[in-house]
Amino acid sequence: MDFRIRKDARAWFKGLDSVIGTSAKGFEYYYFCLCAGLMSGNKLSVAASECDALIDHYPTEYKAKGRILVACMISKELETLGIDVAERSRVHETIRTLVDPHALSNLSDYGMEQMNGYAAGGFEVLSEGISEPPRVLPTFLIEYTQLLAELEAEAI
Amino acid sequence: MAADFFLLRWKSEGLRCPDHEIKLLESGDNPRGVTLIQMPNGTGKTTTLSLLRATLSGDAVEWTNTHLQSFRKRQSSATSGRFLVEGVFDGKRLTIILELDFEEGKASYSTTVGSGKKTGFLPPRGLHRFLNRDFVRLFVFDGEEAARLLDHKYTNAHDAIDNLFQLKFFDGIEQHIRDYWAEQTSQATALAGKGLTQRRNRVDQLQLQLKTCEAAYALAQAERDRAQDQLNKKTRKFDQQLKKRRNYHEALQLAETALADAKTVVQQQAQKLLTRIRDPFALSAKTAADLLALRANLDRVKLPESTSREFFDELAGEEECVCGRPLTQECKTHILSHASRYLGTEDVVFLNTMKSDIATMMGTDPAAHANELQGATRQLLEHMRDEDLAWTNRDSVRSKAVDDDPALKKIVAEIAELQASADKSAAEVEKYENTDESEENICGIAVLKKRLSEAERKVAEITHTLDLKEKRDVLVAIVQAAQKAARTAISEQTVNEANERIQTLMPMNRVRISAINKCLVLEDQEGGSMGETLSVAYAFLATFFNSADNRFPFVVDSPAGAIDLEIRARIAELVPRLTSQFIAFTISSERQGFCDHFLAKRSGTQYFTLFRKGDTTLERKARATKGSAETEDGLLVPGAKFFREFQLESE
Repeated sequence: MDFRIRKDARAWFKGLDSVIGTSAKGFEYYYFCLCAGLMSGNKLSVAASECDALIDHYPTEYKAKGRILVACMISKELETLGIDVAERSRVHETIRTLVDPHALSNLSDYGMEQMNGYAAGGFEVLSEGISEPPRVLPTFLIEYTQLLAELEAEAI
Repeated sequence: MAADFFLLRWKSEGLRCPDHEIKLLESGDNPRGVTLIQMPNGTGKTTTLSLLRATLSGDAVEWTNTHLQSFRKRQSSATSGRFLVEGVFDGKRLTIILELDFEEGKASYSTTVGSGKKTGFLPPRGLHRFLNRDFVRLFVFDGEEAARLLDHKYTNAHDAIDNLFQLKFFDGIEQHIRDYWAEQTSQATALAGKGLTQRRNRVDQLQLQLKTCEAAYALAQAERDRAQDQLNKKTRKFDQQLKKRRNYHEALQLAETALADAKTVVQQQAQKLLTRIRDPFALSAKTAADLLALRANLDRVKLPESTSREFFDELAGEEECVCGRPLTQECKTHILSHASRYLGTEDVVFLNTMKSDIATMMGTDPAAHANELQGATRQLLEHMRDEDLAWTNRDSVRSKAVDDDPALKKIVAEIAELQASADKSAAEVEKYENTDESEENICGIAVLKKRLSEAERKVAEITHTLDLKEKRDVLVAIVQAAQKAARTAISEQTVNEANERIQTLMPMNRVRISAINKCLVLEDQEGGSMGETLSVAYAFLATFFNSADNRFPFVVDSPAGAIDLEIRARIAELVPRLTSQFIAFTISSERQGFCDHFLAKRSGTQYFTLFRKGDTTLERKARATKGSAETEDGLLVPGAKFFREFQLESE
């Protein structure tokens, strides 16, 4: 199963296409959305026809961070499901449903659906928090980090 | 069907170039193989070339009034001008007249094929597909614009190939298939009733909307590119003019260097920040704390376990337990049912590696990475402020210079106008690239295509022609693939043959065409020197015009331009062989190497010298030459002798 980005999100980031130097621009935008989704806890289910499939693995820039991203999602899912980490069997069950160590993404199909859901929800948060689609990378990065700081403050 | 087209004459009256008539006949209706027309700078070579292009392409009706007025004769009270081109197409005479009405600001055409004169630009069937702006630019060619063949904004080589090799035939087949399906669905009206009418209306409406939007999109793209090009030129002109003001030049250079440095620093810092942002735990101290807590808690509840599920699966297969007691079937079933509580070996490995990643990448302080990221963000903000200051400083130097100089002020006003026009056309283009699927989006091409496909599916559904629609889609895909394959094969063959010609023209040079991708693409480089580019252009055109069974004149302005003397002779050898009719506008500086070649070797070459009145000695000499023609503002002198001896001091 692939990482999938909302089509409107892909279009929203179009202005950065010429300045993002990485080979997997789509995944870069996906990551921006995902972190906003995980931090806000906003998860959305979006029809497959409304999304573009990206890749089924982590691109070079994120290869070393793949397991950390999975850990972020496990942590958020446990929090959302109200599972105390001391509840060993429920923790165990949650991890088993989300993780597939054989997959290049380390995610089961269900886990990938959840990850894509956070990315989709994260785009809602991004596009509401940053009024104009980005065109200049430095300006976007400043606005993005400021938005995440606000989300963190709300979460605490 | 092949096209056979050549020029007999053209005549210009009341326009910016001197009134003149050039006859290209040798005897009867046979054109001269080579005609060289020497016109010193300022005589109106570019004007004549533009008028030839406009008369042959019919595109003057789209000119703006400003552009049209630029063809008006200077210091003349004439209210209109006229450019006539006469040629022969497939054995029949064809005359196209372009009339420019300077009072009304309008261009109009009349066309005569055989003896019937009609109002409008109406070239005969068979020639029509070639007489459009893009194709005419290839056979009425400006040597100084050769680089445009390498620029997709100005060249549509695919379209030219489609026209020359009749690949548009595939478009006709595709339309026929679509029409057939439309006809089949229309026969089902009686059965399906009102629902069908509504669905079909939707298809018709979407088809029309899509066609309109596609045409408008192409125009908007061309307009955007044109506006941007003009803006770039004007900006360069401003910079050049500004640099001439010595008192500001040094200050401006310093300001521009500082600005360039500031921009670089901002870009570098932005990349650093982006690298930091790619660490999810750096984005927030809370996220980092949550990850550390997850790791600690997994340790606390002993996840992953030290024993994996596979151990119990294997144990259940044994006859006795590790402690030595025999395993009954009941025991085995119990062990197997509880094995699922344990993680598999690879799950265990993954969780252990994940915990290890958290420990090694994050350390123990959850806030450390977030603090670093905040520091990088603050630094970027500071650098952006520095860049703003550098912009302000640069703008202030420019403003001072502009305030002191009315000429610069005028250019600035023009730049502002062009910028507004470029922004407007860019916004227009975006309108057609909008992929928003809401109903308010009525221009997005991709969205309209999707809606049309869905609407067609609904018509097929109600008329029970889904099967036929699928067949139609398969056939259309085959036709489109065939067209693409043909175009690719022709492009590849053209590239190979053109490269062989380049090898002949420039044996010591390694510049080669790698592909025809709308425009010509050079191998491993974005552009060549002027000489290289011109040689590549001629090699391409030579191949192009020789690869289909068609005949066109080849009219060139500045054929030798900035080419080295050595290559000029080879070009002079090659260019007339591009076609059976070669017409070149030259200046005296092109004589060496290029015109000399014809003067020395080629018999049957026709020579003209056209110049504006003003130099009385020259005028006397011209009038004394047999066959010279005098108009209100110019003299046209035939013959190699006058051509060779002609030299104006201004050149």
